[in-house]
Amino acid sequence: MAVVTSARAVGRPRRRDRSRVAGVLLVLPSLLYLTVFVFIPVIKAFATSFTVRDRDDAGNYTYRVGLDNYNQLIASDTLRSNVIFTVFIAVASVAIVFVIAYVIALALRFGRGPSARFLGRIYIVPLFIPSVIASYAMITFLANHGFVDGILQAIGLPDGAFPKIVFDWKGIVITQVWLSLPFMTVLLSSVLLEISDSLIESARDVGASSWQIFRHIVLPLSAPGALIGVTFIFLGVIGGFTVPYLLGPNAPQMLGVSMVYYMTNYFEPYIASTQAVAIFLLSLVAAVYYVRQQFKREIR
Amino acid sequence: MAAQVPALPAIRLTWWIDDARIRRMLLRLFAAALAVFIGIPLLTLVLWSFAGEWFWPNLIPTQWSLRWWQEVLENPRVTNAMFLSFTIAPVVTLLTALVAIPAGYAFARLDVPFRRTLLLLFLIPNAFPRIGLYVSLAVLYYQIGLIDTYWGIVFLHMIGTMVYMTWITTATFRSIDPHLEEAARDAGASPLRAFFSVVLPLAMPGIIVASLFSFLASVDEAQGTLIVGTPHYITMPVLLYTLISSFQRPVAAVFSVLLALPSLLLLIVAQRYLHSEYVAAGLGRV
Repeated sequence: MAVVTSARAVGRPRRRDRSRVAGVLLVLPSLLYLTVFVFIPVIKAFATSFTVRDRDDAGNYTYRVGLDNYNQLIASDTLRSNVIFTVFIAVASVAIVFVIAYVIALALRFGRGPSARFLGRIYIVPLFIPSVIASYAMITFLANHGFVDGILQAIGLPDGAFPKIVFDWKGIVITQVWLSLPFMTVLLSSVLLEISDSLIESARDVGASSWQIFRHIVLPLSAPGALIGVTFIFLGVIGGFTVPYLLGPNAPQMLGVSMVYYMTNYFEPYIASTQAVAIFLLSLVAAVYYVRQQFKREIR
Repeated sequence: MAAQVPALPAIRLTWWIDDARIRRMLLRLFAAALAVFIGIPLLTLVLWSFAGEWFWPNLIPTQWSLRWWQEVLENPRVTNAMFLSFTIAPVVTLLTALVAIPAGYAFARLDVPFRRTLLLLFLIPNAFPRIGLYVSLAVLYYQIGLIDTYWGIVFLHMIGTMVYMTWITTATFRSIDPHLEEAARDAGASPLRAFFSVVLPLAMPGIIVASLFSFLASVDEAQGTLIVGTPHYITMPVLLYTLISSFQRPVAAVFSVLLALPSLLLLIVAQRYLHSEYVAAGLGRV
């Protein structure tokens, strides 16, 4: 396609020039939108996080550049434990989602029969459930005196034996896993589809065991898609608000929740912005990897 | 050849577990476990919405009733929230389409200067954790007076929908044979005419799918709307936050079912057309 376009362009230079102008004009509105509503806010958040507001004796505010907000983030026990908690939740959720989604994807790729078809229909459902509803469903399902607790009671466990899952880190992780399963599974299935049957058959022919086939063929070949999924879900969980807000403990809080509290309840845009920047920095590696991989796909 | 055909699937099935019986049993067990994990939480919500009386530890309600449905549907807060959600979503979708479709076309077909850099910039919104982005935007909204306004919410919803629609339309336009457009041009059609009567109709399926998802994304967006829309602009999911936090279990359940209906409807309609590409383009609504 590119060859055709450029060959024509050489023949008709004027059409090419027009096409450049048209290209700029067509991209401009969306670029303008992104600049005002994404790039400027992010740059401003960086600037705000380095701005310190002092109050002098007369009660007037003065502003200066400094690292005080970051010092506060590190020095405050609460905020520091929020940062650690956030990273822990994100890593745990991604690890669990990866394992379960991998099993689903393997079953979809290599399994046959009604169970596999059923699996293919059911795993996609959470994709269509808004996270507020998913969180609420999980609360009714997993709360103390919720549905699962009721079943345990029915089979004779004593009242109070059910562990605290809702309003605890476990509730956040389980709900994030529930919500992220379809996305991860779709990505893994699409890379597993690209592994040819003949490759696996020939490995079998030369006597490879199931584990060897998995370890040396299936796993390495599915790595690229798996990594995109892992980074995207990591970004989603680390920057999540709804699930930890509805299902998380009061302390420690995930950064998303604490950031919103600082913003809307305490009217502290400086600390809120600093936490936003902290989240950006915590996810920097994942973000760079994600952009690079998607970029490669776009360019191709 | 005829003898080979049944042999092939047998080989590719067995690489992971040799015994067919165990393999089938494991698969069945796993499918059942997943169905319970995904399905039962949603089912309990539906049960709660029809529960007249449900005391723990009964596994199903002891009395059934429609009164919560009546209460929810007659509550003006609920109808106002529904009205607001369904007036924001079409505007978001329309504005997104107006901005994203031209960009998608340009990226797919035209010789855009700095194409690589621009494509990179278009990936940035997805690379930043959303809540960080929304809080940064709220700080800006306070300064320019967009906080707690209708348009503030619309522009916030567009962050997600625009990136998504730009990608889908870029992919869609790229999949259309460029010769068709060239032929129309050679036959004397203006660039606009060639676009509207040849390219656009062919791209319609992709655009419609992207629009449907944008609409749903806007209806379902909760966290950003909560930050920039309170206290006056309460959409359906934001109201649900309040209902859940105030422990009105059956009311919140009715409202959840109501809010999930449009998406589930789409699931049924769209499952056949659900391209993995579209999902991979970042529908992960986490």
